[in-house]
Amino acid sequence: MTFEVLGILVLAIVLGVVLFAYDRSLRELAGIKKDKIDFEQRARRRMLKILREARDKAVEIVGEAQVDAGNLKQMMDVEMDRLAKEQLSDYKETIQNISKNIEDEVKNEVGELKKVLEMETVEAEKTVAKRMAEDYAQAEKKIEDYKLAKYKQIEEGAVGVLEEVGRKLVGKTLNFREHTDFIISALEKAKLQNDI
Amino acid sequence: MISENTQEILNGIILKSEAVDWLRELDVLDQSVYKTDATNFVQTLEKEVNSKLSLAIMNELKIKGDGIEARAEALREIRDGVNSLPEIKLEVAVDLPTAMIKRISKWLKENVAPGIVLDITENEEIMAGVRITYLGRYVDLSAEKNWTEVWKQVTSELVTKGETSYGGNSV
Repeated sequence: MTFEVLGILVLAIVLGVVLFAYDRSLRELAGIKKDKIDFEQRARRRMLKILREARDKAVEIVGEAQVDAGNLKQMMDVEMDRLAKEQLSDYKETIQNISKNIEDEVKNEVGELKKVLEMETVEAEKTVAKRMAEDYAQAEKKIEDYKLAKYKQIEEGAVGVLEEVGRKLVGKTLNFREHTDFIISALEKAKLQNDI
Repeated sequence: MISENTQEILNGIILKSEAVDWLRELDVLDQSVYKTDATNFVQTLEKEVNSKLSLAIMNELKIKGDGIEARAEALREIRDGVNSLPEIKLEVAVDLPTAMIKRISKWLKENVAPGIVLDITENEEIMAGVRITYLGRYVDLSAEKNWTEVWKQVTSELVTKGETSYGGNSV
């Protein structure tokens, strides 16, 4: 009974560990997604800031060179916008690739962790079952040995009683003449053996 | 040296206890040898001493005479004769009646030694038969000895059968 409860406890602990690890992995994945969005927003803001500074600098240069500021500005804006879009696209693609790699990696790790935990759970179950079977066999042997010892004890006791009864019967059932015959017969034997 | 007739009387002693009684009576007679005359000594023999011992002493006095020295010598020689009777110790299972003791004594006197005296003790444990101690040798010819051997064999067979029959059981 104790080993069964112990086995259930071990399995419960293992299940708890699996669930905890799985939950932690999900949380990590959600965090990574959030980091990815933040990173994109920060990158976009930084890019726009750079473009604005570049544009302002260009306008300044153009103005100094007495070029048609309006046309140049428009042309620059278009160009800058195109460049910004290209850059953003690259950034986005890179970040998406990174995110996907991280996600795949996490998924793999979670999968492997799950496999390991499942294997450990099965092994634990096998160990507990084997131990229980061994203990049961041992208990069974002890009971069998005890039974045999008791049978033997009872049998020996009975044999002892029988011996005593037999001993008394032999002595009591002979009359004096038979006892005397027995004694003389023994004396004759002793004489033949040169004991007397 | 006691006469053959006296020796025959001594050989009539069956039990060691009888021999011990004879020795005790001889001690008493020893004390009266020097205090009484021949007539009183004979009267003492006739009244106070058992008939067989009395007969043995009278038998010796006929040969040796009835003087003080002759009486003392007769008593001494008879004591020596009693003390020299061979003794056999028998341990038997029951308190045998006199007739059976005489039968055993007769066989021993005819087959072992004419003057042999029996020191019999009773021991219920030996069941039947006899344990003998004679001239320093001991031999156990009791049923108990054989019974123990036979019983050991029977017991071991029973236990072996018991183990066989119970060995295959399961819980």
